[in-house]
Amino acid sequence: VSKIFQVALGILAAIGGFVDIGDIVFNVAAGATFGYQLIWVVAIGVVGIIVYSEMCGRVAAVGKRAVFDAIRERMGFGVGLGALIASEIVNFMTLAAEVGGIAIALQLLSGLPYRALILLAAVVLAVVVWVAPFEWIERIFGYGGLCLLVFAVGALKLHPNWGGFGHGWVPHVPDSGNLLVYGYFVVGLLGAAMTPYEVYFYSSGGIEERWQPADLGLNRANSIIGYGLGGFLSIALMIVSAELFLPEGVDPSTLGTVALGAEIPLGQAGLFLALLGILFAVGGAAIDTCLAGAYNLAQFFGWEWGKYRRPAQAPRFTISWAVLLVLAMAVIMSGIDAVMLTEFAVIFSVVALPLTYIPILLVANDKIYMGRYANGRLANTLGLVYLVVILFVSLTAIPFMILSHMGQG
Amino acid sequence: MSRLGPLLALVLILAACGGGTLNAESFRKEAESVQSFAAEGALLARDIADGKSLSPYVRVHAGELAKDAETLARRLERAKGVPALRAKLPRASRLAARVAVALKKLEAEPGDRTGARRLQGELEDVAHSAEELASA
Repeated sequence: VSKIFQVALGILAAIGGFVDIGDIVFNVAAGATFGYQLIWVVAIGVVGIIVYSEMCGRVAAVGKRAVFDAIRERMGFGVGLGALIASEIVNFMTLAAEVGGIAIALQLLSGLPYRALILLAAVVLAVVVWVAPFEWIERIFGYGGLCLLVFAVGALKLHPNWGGFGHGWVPHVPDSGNLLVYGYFVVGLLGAAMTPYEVYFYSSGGIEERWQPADLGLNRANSIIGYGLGGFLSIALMIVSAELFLPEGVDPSTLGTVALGAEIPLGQAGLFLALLGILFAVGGAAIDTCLAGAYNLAQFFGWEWGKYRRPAQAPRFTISWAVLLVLAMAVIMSGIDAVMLTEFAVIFSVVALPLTYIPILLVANDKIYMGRYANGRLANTLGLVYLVVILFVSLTAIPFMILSHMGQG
Repeated sequence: MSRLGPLLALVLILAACGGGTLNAESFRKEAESVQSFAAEGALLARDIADGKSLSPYVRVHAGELAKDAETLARRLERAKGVPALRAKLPRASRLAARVAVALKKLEAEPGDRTGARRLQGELEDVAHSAEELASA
């Protein structure tokens, strides 16, 4: 059991990153628009995030540095500040959307008023972050989010077209449909898979858990199992949508529609587990982004930080996450659409991608800093290949968003 | 700021006009939206009729879809189309309004399995008509 609990960090980081409110709807929309044709993009994204999270976990274990420490050190104050501002904006937009997502999931479960549930969501999140130890946050939200596996069961029950599924793993241009919309989904799915807050949270989590060089195997297991599971859930959502919504011409744009994808093949139990899974996954993403926002600020400015410290021992870190949470609640209370907000956040986050991943590669490759734990040839080759992918995604995300009218064609 | 003034005025005028003139492509997208709401409503109604759904979920989700379908119906009612679309626009608006009414019934009676079966048929008909309208 203790071995299973040890990979909770990777699972929470991946569930929060891969299946947050925007990604859940985005994956389902991708399946409803292009069937299985975008599976290859998820696969490429999963490998990319495994490569980079393994690197930043290794830097945390060996160098005792989290990502924003490395950014500040390697990129200098000016560029680092730019990265900090970009990442804080994206973190904040995502956090606000996730708070809204928790309220939507609770509303679908209970039927209670949305605004009251926003308040409840913010209060519960604040209490959990304040009171619960880091390990328990990982376990509750990471393993709770695994209720989303109900979509994998649903996908199997729908008897997917295995030929089309197999073809979907091969990168290709679509047989039919709007190329700009396809490009928008490619860039969005890659951006979502490699969202910067995943590595901010993951590397800081490694330090929270006091990883040592002896834990490098655990780091590898966390990144492979955690992000592998995140990708698996993304693909399951895509399959369900390809089988149910594409043939009927349904354009999914809400969490309620996503849940219908589990209800149709599995009935009430499927619906209940799907809503519970969404609740934990979105809650996990809220905690990822809330803490990542505070981690980044504290690491950049050199404040005391960490959940392993009592709030009074890291006051600026504690105030940072509390303020972020209150502001996020206020933004979502104003009536902004949570799904739309997070889709914007995914697309805009790609601008922060190079500023996040280049310093990780530089530090992980630094033999003076990392000694015998520096990148080997495979890690460097994959790191460089993914830097090219990241640069492509950063340069094309906003043009694709504008030209495809946010995927509407 | 002075350069933004005329642009802002233009945006406000366009917004006040209720969305401007629809061309064939934008009409197709609107008709596909009607189809999407109707088809999703039919799937939901089928699950209610089969006893596979949960009441709070139905109330909230059907209510949300009904609100969106109603907004779409109003937008189509106000929209002006190119001459070839003038006969199709009121039809699309009526279809969207029918979807909204059906979904409101689901929202009001989430446990009525017999009623849901009847509404499933109606929503499937609307989805079919909207699909024809989008592809015509």
